[in-house]
Amino acid sequence: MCEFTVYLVANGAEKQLVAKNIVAARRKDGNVQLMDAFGSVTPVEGASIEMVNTFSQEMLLEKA
Amino acid sequence: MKRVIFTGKGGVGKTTILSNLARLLVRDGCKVLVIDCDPSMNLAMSLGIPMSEIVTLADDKTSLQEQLGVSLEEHHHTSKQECDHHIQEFIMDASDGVKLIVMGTIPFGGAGCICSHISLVKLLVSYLSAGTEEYDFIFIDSQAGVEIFGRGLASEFDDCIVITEPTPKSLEVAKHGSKLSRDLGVRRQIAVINKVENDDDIRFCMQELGGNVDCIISMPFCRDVKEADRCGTALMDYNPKSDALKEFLRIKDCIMER
Repeated sequence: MCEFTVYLVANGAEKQLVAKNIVAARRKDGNVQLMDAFGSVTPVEGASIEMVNTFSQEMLLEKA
Repeated sequence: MKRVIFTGKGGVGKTTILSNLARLLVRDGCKVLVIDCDPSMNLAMSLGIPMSEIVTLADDKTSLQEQLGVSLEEHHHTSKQECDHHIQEFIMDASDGVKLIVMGTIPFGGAGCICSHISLVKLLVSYLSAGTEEYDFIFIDSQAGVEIFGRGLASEFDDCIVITEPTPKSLEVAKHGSKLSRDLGVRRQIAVINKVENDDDIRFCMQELGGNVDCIISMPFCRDVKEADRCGTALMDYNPKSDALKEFLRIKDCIMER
């Protein structure tokens, strides 16, 4: 079970929890799609992947 | 410095054998660092440290990771002295002067896997191996099964001690573990057949393991080991004259061969 907790950072504000148990992410049409271990997809509009860290099991997204 | 990993199916005696060997080596004047990579964290108890006093790498893994040189930050630099000092904070003094590091456990249900804990241990072993040979031996106590080899922790180690009971299931795990450790470039695979009750056990194991390992050592079943475990004490303290300790000496001699 190597899954990420995903946070969104926007305009220097504190990071905000977006999704848990994420196993895959991709950019599509300017959005980020996050898929969890059960195949459920969470789209995050206007975001890009800022950082992925398997040590902390975190992924940070940033709003453009 | 020799790096040795102990592996095998659950309950075969990995922690018991490792802890007694470590103490025997220290009594011989060797400097031994043992690293508990089993999230059950039983090794500390086997070496006289109560659970309440355990400090784990996982308690502070991000900071240690950065000090060991793994950082995305530009211009990140930690001096070797600072790094050594930080590592010392995780080293506990165990029975007879064995040094112990505990990787850590899963703090709550759903907390995630231990991949990152293992990565940190890999980093630490690499750092210690490149240093000033402070230790004569580094022993890794792995969790039951073969998963740890998939993570590459024992890459290029000197020895893999594969502990098995004389049962088909246990031997299958031992054979698989031996194969995976060889894949990783571990130089010798030493099988320890534990809890042997008769010659048929030995014959059966030799037949099953032959060709998969470089050396086979058998350990007869010994009630002292079980009783010591039941009393929560080490065999060496429970009965310093136990016959089982003589058997441990054979394993010790084997891993001391250069």
